[in-house]
Amino acid sequence: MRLAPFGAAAALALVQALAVSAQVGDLAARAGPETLAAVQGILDEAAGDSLPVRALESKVLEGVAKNVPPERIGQVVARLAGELRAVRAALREALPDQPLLDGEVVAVATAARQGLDVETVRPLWVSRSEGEGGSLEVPLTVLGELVRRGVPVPDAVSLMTHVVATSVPLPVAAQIPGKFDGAVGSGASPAAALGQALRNLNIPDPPGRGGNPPSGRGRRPPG
Amino acid sequence: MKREDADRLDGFLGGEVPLEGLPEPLRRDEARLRELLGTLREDLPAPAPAALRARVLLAVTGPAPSPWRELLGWWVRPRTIRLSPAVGALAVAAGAAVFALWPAQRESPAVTVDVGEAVVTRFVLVAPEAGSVRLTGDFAAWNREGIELEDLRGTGVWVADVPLPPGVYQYTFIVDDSEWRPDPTALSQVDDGFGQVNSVIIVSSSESEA
Repeated sequence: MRLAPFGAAAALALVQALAVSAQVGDLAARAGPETLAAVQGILDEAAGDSLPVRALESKVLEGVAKNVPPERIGQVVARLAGELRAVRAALREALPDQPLLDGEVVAVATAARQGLDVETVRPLWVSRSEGEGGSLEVPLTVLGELVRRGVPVPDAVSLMTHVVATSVPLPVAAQIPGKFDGAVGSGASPAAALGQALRNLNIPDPPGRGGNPPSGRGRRPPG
Repeated sequence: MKREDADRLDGFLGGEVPLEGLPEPLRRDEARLRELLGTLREDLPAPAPAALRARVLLAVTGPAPSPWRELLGWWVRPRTIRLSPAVGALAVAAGAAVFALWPAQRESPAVTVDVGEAVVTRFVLVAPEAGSVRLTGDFAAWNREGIELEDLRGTGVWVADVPLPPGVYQYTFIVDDSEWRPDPTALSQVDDGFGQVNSVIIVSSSESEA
């Protein structure tokens, strides 16, 4: 299904306008004075530290929508800001010359909650700088999902570094966790499931990883 | 069914085992079911030309139905089917086997269709008991009004097609304006910090590379 360009642009603009206007305008209108008092200092400090403020504002609005007490919202937002600050500092130290996008910082923070050491993701940025380079938000999110599923961190990092280096299309990369789940559900071990997922998606095995070579180069989604 | 055969059938359903890898009885079952499916499809009216259909549907209802929706419509549209008892029993047995062996979360949950910068993403919740279902998440600034899902022909299968910019999003459904319900088919569920869970979806454009 393809929308006409005008229709697609209008629809996208509508969704973006809904999100942006709601977020910016509604933070004051929806949060209420008590919640604002609990989070305003955190948001101001986060903005000064170049943290992903939109992610923090979104968490505030989520708490409001779920009728969470203001004090609890403040606690959760403060904890999230702390996580983002720590991740950003670690990334900045490991990658002093690389630009950091908000989505990337959030994705690493999410992966870090699964036990991923921030230092270990450095190869993904190195691979990106060798290629054309887009946002690493999706590869980092997939990395976190694989670690969450029990894939050893070195294997997961090696795979996603390879995915970035070989410019695997993002829609294909995004299917890796689902294919992995399918293989595990069929009784495969995590290591075997990862291999099955790669073959299923026609992604070549990373260097040093065993398994049957896939038939294609991993540039296009299957079928 | 023997465990070994069940594993092979599961591999076949997952596309990992070719038809030739199934034992002879299962191959026969597959052939009969394929023949039955072909017979059923003959009942379907010939589709209108794709371009005309897209224009009409865009003018009347917005985005044209995806193949997924058409397939879903094919399943939920009432029709009379004549089966012999033997074929009927076979179909029921095959369906039961699929349900018993199909692993949870085999595939990514949402159907996505790239439309340039936005990707039309289909959200589905099966909730026959629900009177209304809404969708909200960080793409909608967690607005409780959110995006209303449509109950497809009163089947309890609630659907919304949402154009989203590529990215990673957290979201949840709101059932009957009161119950926050995560998507059971989502890529993953994450702790929201407030004592509930959010679902996660990756939206990516077909033209983007890692």
